Amino acid sequence: MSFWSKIGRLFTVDDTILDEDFYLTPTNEEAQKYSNEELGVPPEEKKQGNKKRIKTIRELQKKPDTRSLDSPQVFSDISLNKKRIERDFYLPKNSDIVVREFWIPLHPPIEAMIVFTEGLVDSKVINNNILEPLMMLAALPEEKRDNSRFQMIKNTLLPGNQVMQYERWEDVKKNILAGSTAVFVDGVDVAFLVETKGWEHRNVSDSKAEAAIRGPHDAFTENLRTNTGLVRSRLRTEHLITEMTQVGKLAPTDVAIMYVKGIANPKLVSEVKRRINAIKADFLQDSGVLEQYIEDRTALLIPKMTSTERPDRVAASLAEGFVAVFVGQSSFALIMPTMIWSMMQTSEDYYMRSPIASVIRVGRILSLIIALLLPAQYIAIANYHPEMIPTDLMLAIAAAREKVPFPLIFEVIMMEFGIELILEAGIRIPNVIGPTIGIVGALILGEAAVQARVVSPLLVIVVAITTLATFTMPNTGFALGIRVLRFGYVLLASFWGFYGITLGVIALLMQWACSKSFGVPILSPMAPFQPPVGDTMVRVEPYKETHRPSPLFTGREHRENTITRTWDPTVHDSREARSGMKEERDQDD
Amino acid sequence: MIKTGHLGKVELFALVTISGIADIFLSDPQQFAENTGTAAWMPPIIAMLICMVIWAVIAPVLTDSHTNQPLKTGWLRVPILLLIIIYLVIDAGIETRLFTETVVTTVLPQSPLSFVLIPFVLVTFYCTYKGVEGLSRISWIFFPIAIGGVISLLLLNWNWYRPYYLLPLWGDGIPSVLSYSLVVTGQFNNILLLVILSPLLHDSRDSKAIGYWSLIIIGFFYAVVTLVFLMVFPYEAALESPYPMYQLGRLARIGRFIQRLESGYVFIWISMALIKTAIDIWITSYLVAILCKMPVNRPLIPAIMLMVYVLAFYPKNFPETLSWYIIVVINWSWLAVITLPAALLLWARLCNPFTRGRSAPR
Repeated sequence: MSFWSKIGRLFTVDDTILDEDFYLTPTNEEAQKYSNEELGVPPEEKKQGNKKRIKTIRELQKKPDTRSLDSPQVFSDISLNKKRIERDFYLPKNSDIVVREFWIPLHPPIEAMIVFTEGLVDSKVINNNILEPLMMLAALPEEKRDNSRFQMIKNTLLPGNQVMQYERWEDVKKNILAGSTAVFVDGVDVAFLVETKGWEHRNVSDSKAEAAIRGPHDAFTENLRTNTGLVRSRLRTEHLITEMTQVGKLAPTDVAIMYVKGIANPKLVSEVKRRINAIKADFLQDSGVLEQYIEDRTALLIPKMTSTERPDRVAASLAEGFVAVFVGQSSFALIMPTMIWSMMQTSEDYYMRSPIASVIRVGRILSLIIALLLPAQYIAIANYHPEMIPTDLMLAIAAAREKVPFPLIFEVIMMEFGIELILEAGIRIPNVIGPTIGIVGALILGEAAVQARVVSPLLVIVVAITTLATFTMPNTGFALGIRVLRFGYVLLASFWGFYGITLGVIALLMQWACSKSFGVPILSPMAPFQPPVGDTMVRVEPYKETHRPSPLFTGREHRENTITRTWDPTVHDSREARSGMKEERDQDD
Repeated sequence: MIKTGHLGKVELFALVTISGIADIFLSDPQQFAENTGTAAWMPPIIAMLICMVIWAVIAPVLTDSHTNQPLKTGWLRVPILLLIIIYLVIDAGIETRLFTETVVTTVLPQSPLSFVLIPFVLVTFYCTYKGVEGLSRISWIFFPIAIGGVISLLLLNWNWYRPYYLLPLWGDGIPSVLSYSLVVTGQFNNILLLVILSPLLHDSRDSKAIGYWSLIIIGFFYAVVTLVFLMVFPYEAALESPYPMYQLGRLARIGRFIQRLESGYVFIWISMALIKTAIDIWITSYLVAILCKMPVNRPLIPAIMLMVYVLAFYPKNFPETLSWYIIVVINWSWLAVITLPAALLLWARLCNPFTRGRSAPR
């Protein structure tokens, strides 16, 4: 937002929370009614199924094609099509694009050619499903109807599982570059695009960033369709919609938007599509870049979308009313909107029994506080509030620090910086010498620094505990944000002690309280309080989670019956259970 | 179209309660003891009952749909709102100075006052600028921490309780207790906040319940804190303690590790002080915007914040600040937080005589 826009909003908007215009709250007209007409693909996206009649060979033979080579439509003359392909794809210089000319053995024979991108296609599909049937075609009967040749080729001679026809060069080129094979036939002014994608990619394997003990171990790969397939294999409903779009003017990248129709808020879906379609960039590399394009406000250090490489997490989120976005060749999917609590949860929490999961979640929240504030608190206590420490421990700390020549703030920053170096080097160091980093870190940072009296031993313990606490947070982006914020609190504590830490915490919470993710406050459902809140800091039993997250204003609020354990002795004597069991018996009858 | 924030009922409840309880960390219990003796825990309870009666009279006016704009009705609102604005600015300035003096005295004794006050003012400005909706949300987040912290502080001193310190039971006498109870009604500034913030609720009818519950909790905490303070410190020692809660924190000692926790409670009372100051400033800017018929109040916040900052430096030292606090806030706040808002609401009701007795349709 420009400076003058901010000034303008200062005089029209009276609360920072309202600086973001988008809300998920349905209006009176929208509430409870999600009609088919409100959803669906906008008319301009409907490019297939064009009802324009294809011109026949006879019609075209009557008039030679006099259009220039720059015409946006495919030519009926195959020589013109070949010239256009050679010009647009810089042939013969560009060796990625392959043109294969051949004859369809008819009486008279028909010239044809296929165009594909080497490396993106499965050559077996081309050979078996395109070249073989066309080149070894038996003679066709004479034309009886005007458009029989086109129909015969498409309906009987191209056994590919997806065959589309395009008239416009823009669409043809886009599909060639995406891995389809274009078939041009002399005398037909459309190109057939046969689905032949088959580039090399990694197989589905274990998750690298979100390992779990209990639960599925598969993770997304760099293949978009594999990823959407992994989700669809779990969420087998016809209401699961995958809308495809492309982002990038120079090189389009496939983007898939998945949601469950009837559950996901239509305002959320249309807002996601609006933001993605508004991207006018040359190239989109990864979901991380897309995230930065479409998130609400970039001043926040923590992410506003959940990125995950676990298909089970995406499937569960879709069933709750969230929207998932996949970016081609990215193994991380984005789930939006997100709340702070989502970034502290893992999918494994739901596979464990709820008391255990609750304890682990509370432990994660304590880890968050430790990761953010422990070094700052150490500085505050050591410098400003030593009376809080028992006398023995205080004397031990003082003795350990007596010979250290640096002030405490300098020690802490030095150690924290050293840990950050080790962490960054550990990611990028080659595997062969990877163990060296552990030795370097342990010896230099731990042993040698203490013995050289550069740092005190207690500080090494504090920094080590802080680092461990940082990595208990499941979301990498969130953990990185906490790592950066920690330095700010260290500075506040060094100047103002607990007072400075308090002011910093209040300012941070205020910023989080006023931030939204696609219209949902990131601290909800706690602040603003929107029950049920059973799946935030603790996890209630799954049979008690009868409602979907209320901040999403989903189409269907209930996700299960109120009484699901009718056989349970503690509930089956209740009136609700008896009425529920009676309904089931009536339905069975 | 001008857009303003809206408040949820639990958030507003937390906001007004924290704003009412925040002064408990200053010298209020000591002042109660000075004026009523060993019966200092009684005036908060009696004041709470008085305020509940007043609330029972004025709350139906707030929830009446035909008088839901009491701040914009009639000519009498102008002097009333002006007096409230003046009170709030002075209150914010004095309390800012008092809280920072407390920080300097207890936590950062070697720091100059401005070094402590400026960050407080900056963070308060940030929170006020973010708006009342954000303030209400962080109030709700801090509410259990604040309540739990105060209760834990009181319970940690259980080994110092001496119930006989409460004798004589009626202190300086029943007339003294009753008369001072009228003064103590000024500590229940939740009434003023509710009168101004109720129109921002999603459903203004919730303000009734919010009022009753916040009065009960504020009265309870004032009474219990004063009671514990008097049970721990004899009357004569209590008169010498300007920071009762801080002294109670210093006394907490259970074993080797649970001792000298007063610095740990900095988090609680600074957060409560900040929320109270921020909402005072926000309401001041809101009322000024209403009086001047401005569509928004955010542009006024920097100016009002600057006034508060300057006022905070007006007293020369801590004793002078404390005396201003006693005179303006403790002795006369009942006028600004109870009498004037009640007069405003009753005036708004009188301006709409045909709606008397009707309530908002459900």
